[in-house]
Amino acid sequence: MLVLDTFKLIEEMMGKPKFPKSLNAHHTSWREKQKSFTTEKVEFIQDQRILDFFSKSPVLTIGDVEYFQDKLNISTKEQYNQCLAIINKKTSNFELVDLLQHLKNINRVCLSINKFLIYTRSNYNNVVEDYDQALLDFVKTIFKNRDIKHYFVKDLKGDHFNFASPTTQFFIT
Amino acid sequence: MKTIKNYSELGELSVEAKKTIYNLIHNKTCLLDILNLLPKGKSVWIDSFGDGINPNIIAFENRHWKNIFNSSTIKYYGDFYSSALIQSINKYIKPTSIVIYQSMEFRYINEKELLEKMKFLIKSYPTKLLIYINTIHIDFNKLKYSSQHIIKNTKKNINQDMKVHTINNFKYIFEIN
Repeated sequence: MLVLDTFKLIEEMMGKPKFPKSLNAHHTSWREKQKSFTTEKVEFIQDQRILDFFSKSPVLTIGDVEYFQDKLNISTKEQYNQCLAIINKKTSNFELVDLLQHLKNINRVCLSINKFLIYTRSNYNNVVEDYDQALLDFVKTIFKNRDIKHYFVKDLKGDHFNFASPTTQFFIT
Repeated sequence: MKTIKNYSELGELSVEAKKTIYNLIHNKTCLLDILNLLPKGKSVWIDSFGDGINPNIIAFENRHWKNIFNSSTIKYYGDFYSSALIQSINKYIKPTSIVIYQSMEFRYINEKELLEKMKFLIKSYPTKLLIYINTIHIDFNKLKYSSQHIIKNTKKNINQDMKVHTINNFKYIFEIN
């Protein structure tokens, strides 16, 4: 059985999925703090990709998105066809499935994941060894037949501002 | 506006910037868990913000951070693997324990590197070792393996008398005798 099927089965047993409550974090200050280490005005490349991706139509925002509140047209109503979800807090594989299931029918989705903060409580033999590929497979299983641009830093260390703004990103259209 | 990818593009960091980073990395949340396991005698803390905790703790900090400290009691090293560092600690300090707590040496490393570093410490220092690991900062496939699996696997691959103290699902202390 696919891992995702296993997750879904558990979800069904537990009832209707909800957005994880734990997704809201406040990393804006750490982002701004690091940017202040230089006198030049700078933007992290992963943030620039987000800004470039969205059009002016309303965007649903989920998670660690405070930095983008005045930079995107944030949706205040139930009408949106774009979504920005930034996962930058400890999040289980189950919570991730919950979240993505809610987003799968949205036209344009940017999903940013701090891959150090994902966790599972069990081992899954059928997940591929390469973590970056495993994350892509995971996203593809939910966003079926969609165009997905995947950005990541191979052998990510602590010097790419990942904890301020995640460097693993999926741009789904 | 300039778009940047990594720290090298920020240029030379100021002392204040380095202090901010060091303090963020070396928080003291689990300090008591370490102190409760310390044996009597001198303890050497490598890249672990050990200065000023008590007179028996001798702090060795990476030379990279040298200009952020005012203390004259801190000793500095350039290379974690240096035989001169190991010799000077073993010969002149003769500690009863070595502590690795919130160290950059144990961040952003993969499971294989974690094992190699632990084996290196065991081989180099004939004392009790207390090594704090936060699995959040260990690089492994987090959709495939649990933190507990990584810790169990590491323990299994170290052929040494050791205990694993669990602080929570992500934070552990390896106590190696």
